[in-house]
Amino acid sequence: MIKRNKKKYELVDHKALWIMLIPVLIYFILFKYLPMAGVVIAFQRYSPFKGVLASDWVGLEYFRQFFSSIYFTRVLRNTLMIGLFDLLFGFPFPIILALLLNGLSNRHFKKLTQTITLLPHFVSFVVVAGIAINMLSPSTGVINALRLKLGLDSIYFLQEPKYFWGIFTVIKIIKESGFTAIIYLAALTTIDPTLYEAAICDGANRAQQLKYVTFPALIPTIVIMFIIKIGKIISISFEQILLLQNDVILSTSEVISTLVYRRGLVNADYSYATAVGLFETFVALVLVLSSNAIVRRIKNDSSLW
Amino acid sequence: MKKFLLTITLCFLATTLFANGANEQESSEKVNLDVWAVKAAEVPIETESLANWKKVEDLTNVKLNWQLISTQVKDEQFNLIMTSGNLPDVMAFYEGKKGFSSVNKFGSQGAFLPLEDLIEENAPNLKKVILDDPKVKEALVAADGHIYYIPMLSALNAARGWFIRYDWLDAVGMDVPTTTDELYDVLVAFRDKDPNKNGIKDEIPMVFRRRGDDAFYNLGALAYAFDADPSWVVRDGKVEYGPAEEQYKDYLAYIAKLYSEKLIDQEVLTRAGNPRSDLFGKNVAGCIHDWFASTASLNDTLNSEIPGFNLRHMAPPLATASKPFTRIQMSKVRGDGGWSISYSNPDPVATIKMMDFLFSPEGSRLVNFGVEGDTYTMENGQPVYTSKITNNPERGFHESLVTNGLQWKIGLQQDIEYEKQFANEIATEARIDYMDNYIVEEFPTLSFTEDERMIIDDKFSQIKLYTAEMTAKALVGGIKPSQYDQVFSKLNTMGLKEVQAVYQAAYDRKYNK
Repeated sequence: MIKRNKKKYELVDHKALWIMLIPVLIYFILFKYLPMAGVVIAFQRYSPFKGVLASDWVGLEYFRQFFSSIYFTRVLRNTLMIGLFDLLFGFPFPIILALLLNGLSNRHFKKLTQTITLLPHFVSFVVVAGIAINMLSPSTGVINALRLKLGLDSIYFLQEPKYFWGIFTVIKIIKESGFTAIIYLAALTTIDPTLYEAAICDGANRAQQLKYVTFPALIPTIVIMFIIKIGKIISISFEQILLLQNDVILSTSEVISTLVYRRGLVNADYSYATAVGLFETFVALVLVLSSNAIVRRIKNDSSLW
Repeated sequence: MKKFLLTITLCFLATTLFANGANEQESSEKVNLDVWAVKAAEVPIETESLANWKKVEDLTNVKLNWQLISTQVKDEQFNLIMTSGNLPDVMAFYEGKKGFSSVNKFGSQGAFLPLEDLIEENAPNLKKVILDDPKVKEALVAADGHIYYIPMLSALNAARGWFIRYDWLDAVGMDVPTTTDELYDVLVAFRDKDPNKNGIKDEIPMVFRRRGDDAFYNLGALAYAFDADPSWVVRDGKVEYGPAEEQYKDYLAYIAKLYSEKLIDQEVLTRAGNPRSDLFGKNVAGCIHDWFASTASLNDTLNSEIPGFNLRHMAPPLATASKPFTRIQMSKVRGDGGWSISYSNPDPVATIKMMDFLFSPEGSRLVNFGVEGDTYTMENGQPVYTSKITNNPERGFHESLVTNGLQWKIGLQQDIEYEKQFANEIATEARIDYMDNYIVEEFPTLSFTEDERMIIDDKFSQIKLYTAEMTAKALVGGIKPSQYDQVFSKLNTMGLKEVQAVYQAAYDRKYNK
């Protein structure tokens, strides 16, 4: 009896909060859950003129086509490798950046650095790709100009398959680190200053403060960001790859999403694209669940579920 | 008050009804048609005194009441008319880049009459140019399978071709190359002999623009020198895949040689921006394959910055093919002219007959050149515009045409003589040369059954990607000529034979019924 009343009061007391949740729920239902019904076309030979109800069922035909494609292993490898590069180098970078920014004592320099690292996030990837292509150009690029000054040969970076994963990862880091660092910076501000004072009293130096105070406080944020990141490593947005890609480096730059783009959008083969998209989502789900499970094993209170 | 308004409206309606009825009775021999059309130029037009249209009216027994709309308000006006549901009898509307998508959309909803049967039964000229020409018909058919407008057809189908710096040829003392060997020699001279005379070896002899992720959009035109083809091609009734043919390897070896000797832009696969305007603008490019009109216009835009700049077309270079040729061409159907018949048109048969007349030799002359002695005279058997058009002190050439009722944005066949007397000379000369001498039949657009489509989607998408990747690799020397056989024989393991059979079947259905 008392319990139920408590629940009732919970709703009434926090009415404003519950109301604020409504738009979010509507958004998820409208844009995330309802479209899920659309996956049925992965099992159909879908024609927009016939509609979902009248299109022929083909079962797992499109999945067979995808798995038996001579490019299947290649795109899977590239997708996972680019994702892995992003995880290994792209994930720690914003954390390091946030810690460095946090350690700065000059306020103006700190703000300036933060602004400069944040700005690339708001620049369209089309522009970023154009800048990157120009910088990496063998004839007019600044990087090769430097190499020539140092007595090295100029390299046509975007025509050598072996460089693509690295180039893509570096571009992503430059573009997104500043933005992601904000989240860590926000987490850092929640640390109670008295903890630092206590640590200093106990004779901890900067490194020890970092190790025993700052870092432990960041762990929950890092874990959540890590799980979210894991879920995304397989879904690389196709336009970012396409903008940097050319036919010579397809062997390392063709990923699942660009393959879907070629067949799904360019050839208007919606069913195939949906089938591959479903596969992508499935892999992402497995990755998220398993990383969550691992986290729960190690440190129970930090996991998402 | 309301009652008053209603009465007024009713009276008004009644008068118009009676008036219409009276009109029809009065001019029983002439059909009155309200024609709504977009102006072809922003100039005042006296529709009552147009000699050529008067003649069209007399010969087709209709009376055309023109309502000409400025291009600036055409979309608004069109949409307003569509929402009111009260349509003029004939509407000539287009939307620039979107072409006729709105006409087709509203046509499918019943605003315009489907024209196939009307043409079939009443319009022999239109039948010939529209229904009997699969390419034109294909371009017109809306998603629901009907045709809703009579298009403006262009006289020139030349799209893209080769251009070379004539002033550079003079600088290195060489003639216009006609073969791939001569082209090679010229490009070497461009590279080594400093034709831009700046003392720096910065010349990029040959440059190309890509399109989207198609790196060989223009570069691929070199294939025709070897009678090779970048995609599907018909050989004696047999459908073949160009890249699987023997001569494709000759083409690859040639472009690989040019690339390795720095005769083709080394960054052709990645260069950002617009390589054509950038590199010609910097005065470092010598030769290009691209669109005629825009490439020729570089002569006008760069003339002041680069003295003597002279970029002119040349014939497709020849190697082992029997003659120089190209398969690159564009659709005859223009996206910026054409007209439709409204659902409420009082006499669709008379209307289509009038439209048909404009495609007859006599009618075509009237809308292209006007009335003899007035806007044109005959010279050597060809119509030539008079000074009323070419030398009007108040208006330019195009505007003079439009004020005289010529070259409107309606359904008509543009006369080649008109094209010759219009536009940038260099471009027109190039297009006509290509049309007369080099353009050959392109691979037809085939229609596939659903099962065939399935095979193509599955197998051919991979084959296409593999071809693009390997062609690019061959270009930059990633695979050597000795490996071509091995690399391209792999196409067979990817189901090429199966796809080829599908294309052959579709081709046979279309032509050997």
